[in-house]
Amino acid sequence: MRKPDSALRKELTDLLPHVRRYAYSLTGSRADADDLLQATVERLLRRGAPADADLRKWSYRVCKNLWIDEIRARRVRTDAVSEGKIDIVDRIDGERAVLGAISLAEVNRAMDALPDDQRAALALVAVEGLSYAEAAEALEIPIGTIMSRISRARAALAQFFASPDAESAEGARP
Amino acid sequence: MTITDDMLSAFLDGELPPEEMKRVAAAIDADAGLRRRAEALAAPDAIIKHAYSAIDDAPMPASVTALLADAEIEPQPENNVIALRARVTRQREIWRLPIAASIALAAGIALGLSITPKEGVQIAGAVKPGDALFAALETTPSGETRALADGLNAAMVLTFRAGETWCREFTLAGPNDGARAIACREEDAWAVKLVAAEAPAGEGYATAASAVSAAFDAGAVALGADEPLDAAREAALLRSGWAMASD
Repeated sequence: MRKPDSALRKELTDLLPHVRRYAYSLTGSRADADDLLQATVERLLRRGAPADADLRKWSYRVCKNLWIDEIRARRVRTDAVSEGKIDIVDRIDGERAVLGAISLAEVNRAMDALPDDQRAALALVAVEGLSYAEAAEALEIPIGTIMSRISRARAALAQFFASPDAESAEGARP
Repeated sequence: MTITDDMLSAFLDGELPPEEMKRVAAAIDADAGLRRRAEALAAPDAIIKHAYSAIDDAPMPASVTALLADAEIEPQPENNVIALRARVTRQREIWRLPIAASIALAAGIALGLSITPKEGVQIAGAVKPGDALFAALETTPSGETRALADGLNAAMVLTFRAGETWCREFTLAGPNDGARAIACREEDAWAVKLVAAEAPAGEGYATAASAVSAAFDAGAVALGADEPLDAAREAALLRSGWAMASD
């Protein structure tokens, strides 16, 4: 059985900010995130969702699958960004997203270096706050796989973000 | 026992069985190197969450909300999730909200809603000391309900930080109607930032009501309500009389 259209629209409306943030974690660009969000909503409205599905997880899954499908096109665009052809929206992003000395561009470089499966899993757990069980259900993989993908993703990012300054501060600790 | 990255990472997520959680915690306590590794693994989470949550501030693209608003039941506002500032003017068009206002007036409390006959409701104002609602906002823990007047109750939903101020989401329930609201603490008053009437049950306003609800949620998220304080921190804050230092 499918979810009734009106219920689907209402639930989706409430879920939009979550799915959009996930799309942004996957693409690293606002314009691409909004395109991916739109494609996700279109797909969900066209194909519907089972009446008993948890729409939030279902939406993450559709979003991630579309992202994987679109990945080649996305990479072309990302390359344009790293060559300096950044549009204004993304430049604003960069200014806002500074955490300490880390800009959005650096965060994206680190995330882009991850295998897609690791990025998709880490974004669900670290950004969206899903439990391993929820993320495993959304991505249709075993919990143990979620655990190892997240651990490897964190290890890679930790290495990427480790700065010489941080190292010397560690050394100075008693 | 060797503590692997997998275990540390699952430990950080609280995803190990209770016994292992304890064992890893003890191991981290006893080994500075292990602790540094745990800290290093934890650091990327904050960085990426911060970076990618920034999109929450941007208005939802109209093309997407239009897709969802396309229901055949009733004409919809073309954009029911929009940026806070834009939304405040729009809300007057979407809801003529006598409901929240009339609750406030009937109970004789100043909710800070100034009403003009034509425009409906102004969504700004101050709840001053002396108001029953002021005391409720000051002292009631989230999850608890306080009676403000005969048949009018305020239930605290959550507390969150918005920049340099503290804000609370709460609901008002009268005999027939209700409202959701967010107020933020200013120097000598709680400023009401958002109010949304809850739709009267049984009326055919489901579509409009969900647009209001989505708009309220978007406004709430824009203010920071999606990151509420936990009970312990809120309790400390209430005890401290709303001191700003939060950590």
